[in-house]
Amino acid sequence: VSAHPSTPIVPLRRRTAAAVQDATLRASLAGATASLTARKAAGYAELADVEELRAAARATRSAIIRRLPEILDRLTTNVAARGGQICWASTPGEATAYIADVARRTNARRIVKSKSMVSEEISLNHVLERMGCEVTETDLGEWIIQLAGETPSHILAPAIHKNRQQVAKLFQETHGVVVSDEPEALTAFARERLRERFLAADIGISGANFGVAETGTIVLVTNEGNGRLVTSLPRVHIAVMGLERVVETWDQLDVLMALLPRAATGQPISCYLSMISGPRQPLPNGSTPEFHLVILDNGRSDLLGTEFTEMLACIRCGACLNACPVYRQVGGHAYGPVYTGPMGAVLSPLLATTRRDYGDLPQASSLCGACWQACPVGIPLQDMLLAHRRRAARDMGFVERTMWKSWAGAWSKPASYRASLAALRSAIGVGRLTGSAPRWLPFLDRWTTSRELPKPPRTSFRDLWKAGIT
Amino acid sequence: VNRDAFLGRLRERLKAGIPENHVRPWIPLDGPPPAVRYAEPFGDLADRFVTRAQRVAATARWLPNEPEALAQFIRDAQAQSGATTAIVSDDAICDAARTTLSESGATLLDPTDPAAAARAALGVTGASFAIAATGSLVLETSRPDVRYSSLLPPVHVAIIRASQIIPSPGDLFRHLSARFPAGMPQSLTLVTGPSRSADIEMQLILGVHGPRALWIAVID
Repeated sequence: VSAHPSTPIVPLRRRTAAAVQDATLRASLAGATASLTARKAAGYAELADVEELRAAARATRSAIIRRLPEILDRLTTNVAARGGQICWASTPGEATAYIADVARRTNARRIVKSKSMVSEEISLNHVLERMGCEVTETDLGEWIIQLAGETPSHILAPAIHKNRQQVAKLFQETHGVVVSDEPEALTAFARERLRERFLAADIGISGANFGVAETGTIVLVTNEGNGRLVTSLPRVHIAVMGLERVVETWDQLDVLMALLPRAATGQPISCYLSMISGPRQPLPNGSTPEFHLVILDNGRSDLLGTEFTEMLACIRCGACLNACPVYRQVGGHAYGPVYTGPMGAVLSPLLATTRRDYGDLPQASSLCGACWQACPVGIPLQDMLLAHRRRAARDMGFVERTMWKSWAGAWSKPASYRASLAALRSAIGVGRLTGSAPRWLPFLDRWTTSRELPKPPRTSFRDLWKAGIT
Repeated sequence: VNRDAFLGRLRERLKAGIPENHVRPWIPLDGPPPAVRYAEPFGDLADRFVTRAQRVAATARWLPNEPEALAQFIRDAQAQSGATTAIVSDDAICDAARTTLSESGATLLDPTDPAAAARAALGVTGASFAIAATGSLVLETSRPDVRYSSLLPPVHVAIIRASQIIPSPGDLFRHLSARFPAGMPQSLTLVTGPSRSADIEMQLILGVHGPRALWIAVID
């Protein structure tokens, strides 16, 4: 059974504190994020002008966001013309109810899935399992975390937090057989077990990296081949996508596809790129394949017209996670929701399902801007993290607001500024002498648990200046 | 909700306009998105294709223009994998391969039947095009024979003509109606090397759910 969506929320500070204590996790993270970042640089190197392409990609995505209704209209009209069926889902509940209906109508028992973050966002597995379906994640990393009852810790490499020994142990515990901890053997084991599932499945569920409006085509970027099996073996294929994952034309897709796999893993192109337009042809045995496209809002439309609008330009490559000094230390689980790292810290507090519990995620940032530099479509993520903090400041309580206001007032006048610093100098001096400072100095107790108090100078710079520095 | 309510909500939100990011504004494009340009010139397309395909772990060869070379290539792929069962897609370019395989004792199964295809140890296909920039094959996977032959067996052998090689993915994406005059196929797949994963400790493993080995013969 998949991880329950409504686990009680532990505060961010406690989650990150636990993560930095986990040596295995930190070793895996350091290796993976450094290697992905290096591969990205190599992938970019063979392009003549990455900056020109990034600017074009940003302009393209920004223009698309401004025409979302027209593009979605064109996409779905073309999908329908090819025989596909459309579900417009404002909420996760509407999306899962539609998919559950398809499963019920087709008497589906066995469902195979390729990687889809949106399906995680709507807790799809949970809903389908509750109605008695057997749901199998078939992306190797996703299968591992499904067996472990966990959630993805990286949007690209979901099991990035596990090492080979942990995976071998997991396979042994869940299947009762001994598997060598060589990645080769572990992968072969997964291939064999999952192949049976593919051949027996009634429904295949995939995500969609892009929907191309011009032809009504869903584009899937995968490496393992499970995406191809999911979309071509079961009679029914359901693709789920966020409403923003569209392009209007194939020349737009060309620019984005030059960047997406390179930014994600450094590959010039993914191993498989599937372009699917509607359902397959009827089979000789008379069965009629179905294709369903589920388009999800879940609060995305609320971003339009706000300072977070450009977050809808995100193409989910994961590059900002690998570049982020916070993500590199704590990994995805400390963030909590499906979308983590800088893009998740911006998006999760905005999505309808996570906005209540994850409002504090924008604190998990140093505002260094590495995310923006890493982003292949140039989303100014740090400006949006700052905008989140501005909102939080606007919404803070009376006591905190009064405190900051009086501090700002005091330091706006030279006399009270000097007086406050003089008081602080002597307080720190006394504190250092008696060694008791951390406990009674307001606000400094937490700061000093891992730092020495600086030695205050006898005279201030202002006094030295007035006396004439010699 | 229905389409009109869903799209109406988006139109409503867009009506008020979108605030500019004044620190880092985006500059709209003048015309269509620019072409993707590469740092190095490609040189000969077939050379570039073969080099690129090899770089992603495919066994790609530019074969001399004689039937025996292709037959030997097919026998090599078969020997290396010990395949005794095979499926061959219904392309004229695969006819010679079909003959070679049955002469060397392989049982040929129905490539349009997924259950049979899943038992095959080797699959042979042609390709619609091949892409020099990335070493990719462009497969029309709406055809069941192509779909299964390139996906289910652990070994995939593809045979292409040098004249089918186009420079870059953009030459496919931007000219789909010229490349497929009969209309956009229901399914197109770009295949670049054998199936792979790095989900366990970022170590590259070939042959996860798709083929473990990809052999590509470039002829004429």
